[in-house]
Amino acid sequence: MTNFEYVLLGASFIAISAGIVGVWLVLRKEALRSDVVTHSVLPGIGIAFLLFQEKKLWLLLLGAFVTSLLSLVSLDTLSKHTRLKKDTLMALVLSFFFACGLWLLVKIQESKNAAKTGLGNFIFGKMASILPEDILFALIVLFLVVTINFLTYRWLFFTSFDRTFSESIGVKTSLASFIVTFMSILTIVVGIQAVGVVMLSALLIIPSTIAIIIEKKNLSRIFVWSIGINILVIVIGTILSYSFPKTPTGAWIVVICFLIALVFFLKNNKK
Amino acid sequence: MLSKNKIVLQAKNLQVCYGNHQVLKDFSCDLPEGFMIGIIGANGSGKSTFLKAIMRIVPVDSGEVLFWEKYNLQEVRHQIAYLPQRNSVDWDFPATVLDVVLMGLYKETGLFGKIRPKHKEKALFYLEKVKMQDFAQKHIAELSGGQQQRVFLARAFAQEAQLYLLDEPLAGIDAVTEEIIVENLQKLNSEGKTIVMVHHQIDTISEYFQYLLMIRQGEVITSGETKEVLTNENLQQIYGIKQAFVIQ
Repeated sequence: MTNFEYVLLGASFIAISAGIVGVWLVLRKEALRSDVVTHSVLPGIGIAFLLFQEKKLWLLLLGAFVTSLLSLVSLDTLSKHTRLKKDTLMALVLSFFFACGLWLLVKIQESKNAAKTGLGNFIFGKMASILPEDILFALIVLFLVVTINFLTYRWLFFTSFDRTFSESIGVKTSLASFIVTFMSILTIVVGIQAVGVVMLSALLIIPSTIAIIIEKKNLSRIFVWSIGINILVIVIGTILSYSFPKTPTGAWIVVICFLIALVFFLKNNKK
Repeated sequence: MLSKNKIVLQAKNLQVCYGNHQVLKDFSCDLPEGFMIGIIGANGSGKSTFLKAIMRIVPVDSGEVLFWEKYNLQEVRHQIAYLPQRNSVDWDFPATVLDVVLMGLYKETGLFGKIRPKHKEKALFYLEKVKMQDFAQKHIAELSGGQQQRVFLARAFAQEAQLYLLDEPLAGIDAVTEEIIVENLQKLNSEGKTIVMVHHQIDTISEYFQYLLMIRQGEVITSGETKEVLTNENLQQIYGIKQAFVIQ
């Protein structure tokens, strides 16, 4: 396989995971929550690099996983103990973690450690920076997301559609939220290098929103559409970023997502 | 056979707060088994919160709820069907009418199990009861308010419970739907099931309910058989106005 084929394969694995997780995020009205997670991975990457002084992907992603989890814990704690609205808190937490991440990356860029090269790709994404061994990581995440989704499908359906009813029959809605959050953190962590922190939430949200517009009543078909659109935009984005090597993959993907979304939104505009 | 002496639901000194606002204050009541029970009171008096507190959907600050005189919620949860208010869900959610009714069969299907043809047949049977079988494959967003309410009710019926807690099932629906719903509830009641229902229409109270729980500002004003407690004085007290009600 050529390097380009490896990259496309890895990109497709990320696209499938994002396609599944994105649908749940949109249906559960937790799209903004995913934005908090994507912006909160950056300080984790910075801290992991400063601690270990090397650019081993699994170490950086472990750091990303920890800080994204921390951001959600902060969000829920603040939500419980303050009277601020959820969207205000999300903006606060998101900005704080992202600012910390940027500050750390600037400090790292000023250091003399040669391994720092390429860390900037985590902000805007660079599909070409994916190595064949990273694909294995994407495959593991895909396996986990598909398995969790398969096992908890009805549970997530219940709690996404009718939380009050779900609680009345003893279903733990908070646990269901945690499952969706866990799947989204996994997907975000594995996708940041390819798509970038800033753009990843668009990849999670826009294709799944289009899928929900296309297919209104069958959830299984929504998943198929969402995955399909995700693969399409990520493949086109990758090809374009290879064709124009100095342009970030994430930006291409978001532009393509937006154009597709625009077509569907206008087509389905009831007014 | 009705056993109207047993207490199906006993609330003891329930306290529920939303932030600094106390919604239920030292709320106590005994509701008898086998009755059609109406919970009445003005908007914001705590009727819906009471049902949610019973089902532990909202956190209870203090107090206790017993079912059938000795059991706690965990022990009898599967014997209780709760119907939330219609506006508590997103009706644009990608689900068909059949999907919603199948939720009520969770005891048979399990949360991780597969839906089999026999489950679909059963769901259709309950849809037929509320005259919605022809809508089974429709998207829930395509339904009118009354039809949505009937689907919710079919889901509650599918739970095959002993106690039904219904939060305003007759709110904002047409006369035909109301007739279908009440007819079904009365049939269930005649089979010995207890129906506890939040209700707003004063003119139909005496027709629908054998027992009333009257609430004002999070406190029980009175409870008892409809013919005894449905008085102008009590209605004036729970609605907080001096105007006389016409009670048939």
